[in-house]
Amino acid sequence: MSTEKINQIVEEAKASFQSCQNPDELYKSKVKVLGKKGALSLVMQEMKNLSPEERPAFGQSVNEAKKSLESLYASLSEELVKQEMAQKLAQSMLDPELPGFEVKTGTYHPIELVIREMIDILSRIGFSVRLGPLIEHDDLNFTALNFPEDHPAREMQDTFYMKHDHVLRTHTSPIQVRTLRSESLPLRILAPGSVFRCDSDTTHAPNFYQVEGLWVDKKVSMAHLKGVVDFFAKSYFGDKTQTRFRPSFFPFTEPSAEVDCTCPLCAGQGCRVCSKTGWIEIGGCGLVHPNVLKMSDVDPDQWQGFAFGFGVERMAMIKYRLSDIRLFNENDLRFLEQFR
Amino acid sequence: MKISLKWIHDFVDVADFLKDPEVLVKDLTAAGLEVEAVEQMGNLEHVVVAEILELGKHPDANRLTLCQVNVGEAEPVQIICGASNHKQGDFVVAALPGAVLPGDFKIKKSKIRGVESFGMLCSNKELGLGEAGEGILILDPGSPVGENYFQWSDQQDVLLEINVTPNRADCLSHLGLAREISALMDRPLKEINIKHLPQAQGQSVALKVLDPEQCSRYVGCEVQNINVTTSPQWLQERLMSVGLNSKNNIVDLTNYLMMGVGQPMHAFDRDKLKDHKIEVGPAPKAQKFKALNDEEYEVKGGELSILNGDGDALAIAGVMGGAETAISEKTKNIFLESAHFLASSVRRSSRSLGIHSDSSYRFSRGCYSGTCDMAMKWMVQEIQKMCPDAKVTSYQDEWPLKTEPKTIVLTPAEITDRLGFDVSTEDIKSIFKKLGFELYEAQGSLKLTPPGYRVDIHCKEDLIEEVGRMWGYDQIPSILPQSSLPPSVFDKNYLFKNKIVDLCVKAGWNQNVHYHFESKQDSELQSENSKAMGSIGFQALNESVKISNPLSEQTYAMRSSMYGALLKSFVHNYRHGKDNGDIFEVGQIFREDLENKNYLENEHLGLMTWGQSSGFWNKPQPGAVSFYQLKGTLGILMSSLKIKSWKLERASEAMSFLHPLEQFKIVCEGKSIGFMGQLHPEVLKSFKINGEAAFLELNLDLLKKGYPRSAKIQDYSLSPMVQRDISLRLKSWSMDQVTKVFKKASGALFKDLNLVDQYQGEDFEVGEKSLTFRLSLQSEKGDLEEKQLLKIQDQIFAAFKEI
Repeated sequence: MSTEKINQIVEEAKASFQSCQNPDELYKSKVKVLGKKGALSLVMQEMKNLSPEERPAFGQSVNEAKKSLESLYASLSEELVKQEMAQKLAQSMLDPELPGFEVKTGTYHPIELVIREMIDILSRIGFSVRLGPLIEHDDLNFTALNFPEDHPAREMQDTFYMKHDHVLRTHTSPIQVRTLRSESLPLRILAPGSVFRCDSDTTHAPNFYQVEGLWVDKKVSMAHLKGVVDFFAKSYFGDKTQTRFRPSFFPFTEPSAEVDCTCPLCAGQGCRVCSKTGWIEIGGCGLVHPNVLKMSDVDPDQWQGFAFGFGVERMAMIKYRLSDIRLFNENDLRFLEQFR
Repeated sequence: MKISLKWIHDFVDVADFLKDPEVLVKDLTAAGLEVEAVEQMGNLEHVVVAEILELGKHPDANRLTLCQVNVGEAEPVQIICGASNHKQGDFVVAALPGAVLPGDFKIKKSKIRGVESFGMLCSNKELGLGEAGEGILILDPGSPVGENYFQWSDQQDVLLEINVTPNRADCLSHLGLAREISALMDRPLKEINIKHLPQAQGQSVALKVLDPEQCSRYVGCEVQNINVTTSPQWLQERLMSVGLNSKNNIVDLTNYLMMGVGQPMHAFDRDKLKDHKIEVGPAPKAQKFKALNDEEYEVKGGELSILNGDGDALAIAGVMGGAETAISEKTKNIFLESAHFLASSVRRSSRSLGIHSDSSYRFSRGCYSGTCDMAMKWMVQEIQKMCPDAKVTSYQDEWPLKTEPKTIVLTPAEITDRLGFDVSTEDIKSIFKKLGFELYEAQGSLKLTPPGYRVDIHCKEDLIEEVGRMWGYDQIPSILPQSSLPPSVFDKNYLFKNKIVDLCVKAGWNQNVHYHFESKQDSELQSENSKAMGSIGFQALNESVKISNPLSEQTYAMRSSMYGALLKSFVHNYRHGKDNGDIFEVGQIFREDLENKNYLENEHLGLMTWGQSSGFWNKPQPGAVSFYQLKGTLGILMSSLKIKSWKLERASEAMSFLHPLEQFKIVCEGKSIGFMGQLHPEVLKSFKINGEAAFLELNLDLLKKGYPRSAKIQDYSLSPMVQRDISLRLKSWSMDQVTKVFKKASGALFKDLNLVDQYQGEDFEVGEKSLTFRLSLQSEKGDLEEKQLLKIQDQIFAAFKEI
């Protein structure tokens, strides 16, 4: 009787196992037979009603039944898990055409980006940043930079005048003077910042940005200046960039030069941007005029220097191929958001 | 400055460059005289001398003539002409098919009202030879028909626009540039033939230089019996080529010599000189002065002037002559001036009177007193050619102060060391010789004396530059200097500013960079809020920081707040379709320090936000998103700067541009550092803006102190974190007070407290709120037991019941 019952339980359980559609159902069926209160456990309780001779055979057959069910469970379960995974992989609700969620990102203004890049490049060769006020004393903006009063050089820079002998600084060069007067030599500094000229059209803004560099040491030459300017131009515009100096005049440097670099847009071949010349003017430079050193109590027989200056807007316009300087002040988000 | 190569050719041979100026243009630019534009004049093909054989009327147009023209070919050609100043037998200039006239005007065979025309008869203007006269150009009879007009008439010229730097005053004339070309190209200067003047008889004008410091030389010459007429063609053409208008022969000659040799000159009508007296010195009194241009100017006194015996200004020295003594058609006798005035004196009077002339331009850059005499003799010589009856009656040369050029000593090594490349001593000497320097060599040094006209040479460095630019800057090698330098640190203000910008960008804001100006309107708005400014920790704005010479209303003053610029940007972007945005700027704002006669600058941060992003789905409170957006960003700023204690408080004075109840001052560690609030609805309405916006401004200088603060990163506990949401219905509350209670109850277990919900029921009193806080607790030792949590909860409830 008992063996038959066991067989019946096993057959029913097998049928139940096989009808299961997923691992959960299968597990529940398994518990019904093999759990603590499962059918087979209940059968085991009948063992006490058997004679001692009958018990081992009965026990063995229960164990065999358990084993066979366990093994069936294991194989079916593995199968169902596989099936379930296959099902999951066979369907998808995702629509790759739907746009990604809007992620809020901030942007740097191009002026900021360019100034930081310039400083990053030049600080690699030892330049460090100094700042100064935007409303400067006339003396620091002009006289101390070898623009004597009533000198035509002052006409080179259309100046905004303030009260108390102050002007809106026309260049960041007063920072050079301030540093020469307050720090020990030798030195290498960068003076980035906002400057002002009383002039406004499509190529001139009344308020724009410059980065100037000053290098003072025992012995410096035009070749050193060229080395630094070359290093900068190659780092900023690319390895193949070449620079050239053209003689020019600035009151605070002698000799003075204007710096051109090969047009990064046409690699010096000549295009619309460089007016077919292959060259683009990027700044001015020269050896520091001995008068400037003297006026800051630096002995020109002991110390020599060179200085250079670049226009930030110009750098940005070349890099980002912009043609209208007014874009920088307009702060139109359609422009700014492109600098992500 | 505009330069004619044909004119240069008077002084140095440039015949080859007249045909092709490319090399000259390149070399001048490389030597520091940047050529900004090149214009080839009259170098046109298919433009020939022609003779009008027959002249008839166009059958269909009264105003057009039908001409049969001999252009030197076997058959005459038919040309239709719209001018009316020509007649049969005239010699004219014909542009034939294939010619390209200035302005890219291509001449083609064409049909005009059904009649064929094979070219065009040209006017001066059409040939690019100056302004239009009446009709077409009529040549002298017997001109060689068929010849290229330009070759035959010697009209070819090349005009160069040269950017002369302020130091090179000597290059502001054709002679000056010829010298430079002579040195650059190693070509000799042509000799200038000026005849010696016959001894003049007597002195009828009494000349007196009162101030030799300001007038170191004055050559005065009296010429009688002249005729003031129109100038001969050659003189008109010369002036026209460099952009000057022709007036009359005398005035044109003064301009001719100024442009030719760089000496500004002036001609007085001698008979209008009172008492025949000329004195040169500062104007002794304030007076009105009517200048040649018929404008009246206020002379303040002290301007270097040409005076009559009574102290009346006849001319402002080196700037402009007076109307009263000007040359007219009736003038018979003249007094000519060729003088040297101090550059700074001329510049001062030119600036103070606001008169800028070609003369003042040259004097203020520095003329050479050595040219006065030569220019005067040349002038007289030309007058005598034009007016054969003219008689020189007096010639005076007052030269009270002669300045000798300074000799500079330097070694060739000093030159090559500074330039960074080698030039042999022989080459250096050759360069200075070509440039006209006097040179002595002694014990390895060079003693160099510049020619008098090189007023820009003062020191060794000036000489080094001369060698550099003549030898070529392209010779400079590129060498990165190798030198040790003590390590240097960046300006802290720069680092701090970068930190703030970084934080705002990270928080999702778009950086703005605006001009540092403020419009009159913005400036007045800020002045109105002066008291409020003071109450939130800014310098009070007693007066706008005005610019003395603004370009426009927009550059009226230096900005006193970040508000104006950010509002402008907000409105601009809103109008261009951005219904939401978050913008910020870090920059200077300004105040005048009346006490110290100085200006103050502070670094400020401004934030402006408006509207809601379309992706913003969990709207907390309609109507105040902008405000909480700002407050959230402020929180990030403060925590990033390691500032724990900050809060918003009501200010005693309200900003007029913010909502009166929705604005607060920002108090940080007991100090007021800025303000924030929702924009005033009136402001939004005035710009037709729907929705809301909020603005924040911080004085960063008040935050800089102690930056960067040490940043200790906390260890984290490995035990689990437990969170409890606790709702409280409170009649009034502050985050500070709530936090204090929660902290006290939680003791060492306290980790964090956040507000997660808030609600105001309809039956609530004003100000009463239901608030849900999420309390985070954690033990260093292990799991927390339910009992512990209940105890804390009870303590919290008990504490709030008491309040």
